[in-house]
This record gives sequence, C-alpha cells and structure tokens, in this order.
Amino acid sequence: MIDRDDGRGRAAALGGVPSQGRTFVFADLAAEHGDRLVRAAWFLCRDRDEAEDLVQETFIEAIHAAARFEGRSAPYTWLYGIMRRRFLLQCRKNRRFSRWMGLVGSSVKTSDTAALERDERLDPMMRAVFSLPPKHREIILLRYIDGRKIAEIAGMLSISEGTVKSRLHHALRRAKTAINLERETSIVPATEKAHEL
Amino acid sequence: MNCRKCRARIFDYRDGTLSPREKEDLKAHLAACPSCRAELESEGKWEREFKESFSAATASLSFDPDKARLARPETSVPSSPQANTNVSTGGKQRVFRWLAAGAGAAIILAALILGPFKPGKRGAFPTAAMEGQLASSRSDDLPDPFQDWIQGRIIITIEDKAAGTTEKYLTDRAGTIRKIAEQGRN
Repeated sequence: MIDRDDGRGRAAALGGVPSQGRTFVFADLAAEHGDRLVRAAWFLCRDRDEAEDLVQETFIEAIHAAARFEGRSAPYTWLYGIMRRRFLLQCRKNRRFSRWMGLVGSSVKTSDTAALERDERLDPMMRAVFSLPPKHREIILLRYIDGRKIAEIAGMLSISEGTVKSRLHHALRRAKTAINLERETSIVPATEKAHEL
Repeated sequence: MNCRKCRARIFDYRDGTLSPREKEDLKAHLAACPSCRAELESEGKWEREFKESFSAATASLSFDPDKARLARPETSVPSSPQANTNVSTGGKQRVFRWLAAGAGAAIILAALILGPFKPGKRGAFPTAAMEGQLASSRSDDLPDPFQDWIQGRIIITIEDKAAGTTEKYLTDRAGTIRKIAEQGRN
C-alpha cells in the first residue's frame, strides 16, 4: 500500500502496512485483495465480466471512502461490505429493468440465466449453488467458503444470529435438493448413451 | 438435551462459542445420538465440498488491474463515488434509459398539445351561421360591459362599417354565446 500523506490513518490498515496514510491507490488495493474479492464477486454475480466490473467499482468507492474506514473490521471485510452494497444495487436495477421490459412485452435474458448457460463446464455442485437465490449463495460463501463464524456473518449482514442460522439451514436444504437434481441430470446423458450402445 | 436443541447448537459448537457446560451437554448427546452426530459430520462434509468445488471453479479467476476497464487509458477514474455509477451501466441499462427518455418526451409532448384544449364551444366565434342559436336582446337590456368582464365574461363586438351596424356578443365561462346588442339597424 502506498502512503500519500501523513494522516497516521486508521485506513493504513487497509493495506496491512504499518505506516501512515489515508489515500489508497487502485493498483495497490487490487494487488492485495483483488483475487479474493473477484472470486467472491463471481460467486455472487455468476458472471466473470460482471464480477470484475463490480470489484473495480468497489475499489474506486473504497479509495474515495478511505477516510471513513475506522479499522474496526479487517480490510477485506470492509471491502466486501462495499462490494455487497454495490451488488445489491445492481440486482435492484436489473429487477426493475426486467419488470419494465416485461411490461412492454419483451423477454429479457437476465445475466443469471445467461451465466448459467455459459458455465456448462462448472461441476454439478457449483451449478446447484448457482441456482440458489443471492442471499443463500452469499451465506454459503461466508460460512463454508470464507469459514466465518455465525456472529461475524450476522455483523456483516446486519441481521441477527438466529436469522443467519435459519438462512443457512434453508440454503443448505435447497442446495442439497439442487445438488441431487444436478447430479441426476448430469448422469442421464451417460445412461442414455449406454442404452444407445 | 434433546435432538432439536442439539441441532440448533451445532453451528455454535463448530464456532467454539458454547459455554463449557453447554459443550459438555452437547458432547454427551452427540455420543448417544447417531443422527445428530451425522448432522455434525455433514456440516464438515459440506464445508469441504463447497471449498473444493469453489477452489476448482475459481482457480483461473484472478483480478488483473491492467485489464480492468478503469485502468485502461481511454477511461478515467471518476471524481466521486457517485459519479462512478456510469461505469457500471451496461447495455440493458442503456436501453432502459432510452425507453424512459422516450416515454417522458411523449408525455411532455402530449401535455403540450392537449393541455390548452377543453371540449365545448369555448373559443368559437359567433358567425351568421350561429345566428339562430343566439338569443338576442335589445341594446336597452344591456348589462354593464365592465361588470360582465369582471365576472369572467367576454364581449365580442362585430362592427360592419359598410352596413353601419354593430353587434355585440357575450360569452360566459361555459362557452355559451349570447347576442346582447344590435345597433345601427332600424
């Protein structure tokens, strides 16, 4: 992380460098947190290009909001919060757009379905998770992939611990059903081939 | 401890947030209950499977700042986070904006064209063809023109210099036209 002034800032924690500074550079943020964030963004967006756009917007917002970073959470958690906010905003925009297009009688292929159609290479488990709604995908990401504790997730999502547990329970139940379905459908072509032979 | 309570605490047990006493109770129940033990094991199994699948799917995924749109020379970093909203807009949003702009323009145009109009006789000019519809009255019953004007009425005067006649019509707010004076004849 490059320091830009002598603010002895709380924001110095962003780069993990024990020095002063409260101005962040896009390239530095990208180097330190880019990969992890883009993977999380991809898990939420289900589209590589959208994920990259989302992450760079996150970095830009973070650079501008650096002065507001108080160091109460880990830098990645703070960046994830910004990304999550932007993602939700994007979801709302897409929903509004689809609704309007529905009113004028035009069918729109949303990025959701488009992404799934493109990602034929994904394994059944990932495809199953991708069929879940964003809030269930997110809770799986935070709990099982990031390995966060219930209390931590509750803080990040501003919900109660009970809600986190209940959401996890529903997400897992749906994921199990979807995974079974995916595995069954991915087996079908093989058996069909066997019959043909 | 029963199975329901045990399953509600499995997350906390894995997080290590249970008190020593709760932990002991849970362990005792797990030792005696195979289905709750299976539930705990399946938690760990899910975690492993999700992690493996995620790692495999994202192995080739990395964020390259050089390829990022904002790092390209033709684009610049906006001066404020709010200004950055333009960066994220895709083709779909652009279409939506054009549709919204078109709808707005159509509404404004319709308001401009139809707004001044109100159905009825308002604005109609008294002509000879309308003569029969008009209730005539003599000049001596004339109301005070100024007073009528104040009440929102309009007096139209048609002066025919060749014939040396002057006719006065009175319109009211409802658009009714009434001949109120005829001078120069007889």
